[in-house]
Amino acid sequence: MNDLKPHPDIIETPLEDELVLLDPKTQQMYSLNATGMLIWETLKSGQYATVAEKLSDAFEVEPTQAQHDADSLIADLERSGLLVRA
Amino acid sequence: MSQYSLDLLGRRLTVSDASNSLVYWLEDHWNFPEHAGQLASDWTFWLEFSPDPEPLGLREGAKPLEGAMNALEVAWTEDGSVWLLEASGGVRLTLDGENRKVHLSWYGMLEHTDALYQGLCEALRSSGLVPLHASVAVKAGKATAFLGPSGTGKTTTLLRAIAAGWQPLCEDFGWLEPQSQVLYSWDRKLHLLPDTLQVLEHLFPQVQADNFDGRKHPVDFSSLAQRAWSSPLHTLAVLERDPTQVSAWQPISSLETLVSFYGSTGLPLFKALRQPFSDLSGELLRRLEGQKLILGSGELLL
Repeated sequence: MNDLKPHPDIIETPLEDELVLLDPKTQQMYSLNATGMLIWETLKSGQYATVAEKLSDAFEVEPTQAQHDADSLIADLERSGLLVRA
Repeated sequence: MSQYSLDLLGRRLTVSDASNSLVYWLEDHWNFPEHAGQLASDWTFWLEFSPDPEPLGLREGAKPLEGAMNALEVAWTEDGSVWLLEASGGVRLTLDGENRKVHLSWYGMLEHTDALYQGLCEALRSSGLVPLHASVAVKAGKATAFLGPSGTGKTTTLLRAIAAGWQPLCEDFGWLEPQSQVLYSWDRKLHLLPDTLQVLEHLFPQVQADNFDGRKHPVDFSSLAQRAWSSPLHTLAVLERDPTQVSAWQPISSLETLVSFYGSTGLPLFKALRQPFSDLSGELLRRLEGQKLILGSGELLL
C-alpha cells in the first residue's frame, strides 16, 4: 500500500471545508473532509509513511487509531479507483 | 470561397476558404451582434476544412475512443489534440495555449455540424469562458441561473419567473465570463417542448408560439417580456422536482451546488484544462450564492 498515489486524471475542486474529487471517466464525485484532505495531500507528496503521524499530530488522536483511520480511508480511495500504484 | 472572420465574444474566428453554406451556418448559429464590443480577448480561433481526415492524423494518431458527448464520439491523440467524431465528419481541435490559439480542422458534410458546433464551444471554453446550460432570469439587476438535468423544469421555472416580473436572459444556454461574472445569453428564442407549451398557454394566453419545428415550439422572448442579453450572475438555483414537498427556496450545500454546476457546464475536453477549470469552479462557487428551489405543491415563490 505504501506506493499508492492519487490517479493523475482525478480532478480536485477545493470548497470551503472539503475537497471534492471527480473521476472524469466514471463521472463519480467524492468529498473529502479535513481528515481526508490531509491524507490526500500527504499521498500527493509521496509521503505515505508519514500519513498516520500527521493525522495523529493534527487531530490529536492515538497513533494506532490514526493508523487505522488512514488505512481505512486509503483502502476506500483505492477501491474507488482514485489511487494508483506509483 | 474566401476567408471569413467572425467575432465570438471578443475572440476572433477566422475561416479559410469558407463556402457560402458554411458562412450561412456560422452567421445563423454564432453571430450575436448583441454582444459586439462587450468583451475583448487576444484569443484567436482558426477553422480550416480538409477533404480527407487522414492528413489530419485521424487514423494514425487517435487512440481508441474513450468517451462520448451527446451523439458524438471523442478521441484524444498523444499530442493532446481532441477529435470530435460523428457519422460522416469530424473536427480535430488543437490547443496552443502559449499563443492563445485554437486550431480546428474539420472534414465531412455540412449537414452534420454537431462536431463543428461542439468544437467551437470547446474553443470558446479554452479561451476562458464557461458554458452554462441553464435557464436564467434577472431580478433587480441580479441574474439567477436555474440548474438541473433535462426535464427538471428549467424552462417552466423561467416562464413562471417571467410571469412574476423577472426579465428573461437565457432559456437554455449562455457563456459566463468568470472574472466579471457576467453571463451572456446564447439564445435567440425560447424553445418549448409540447408539455411546456401548456404552461405558456396558461401563463401567457395571449402569446402564440411559432410552428412546431419537429421537436420544439420556438417562442420570441419579446412576446413575453423585455429580454436581457447579458447580466451579472448572482445565484445558482438548483431545481429539485418533488411533488411531496411544498414549493420553497431552501439552503443547499456547496457539494450539491458543485455537482449541479458541473452538470450544467460539463468538463473541458482538453485534459490539460480540466484541473484549472476545477479550480475556477471552486472559486466561482465561493462568489456565487447557492440555493435549492423545490418544485413541489403550492405556489412557487418567485
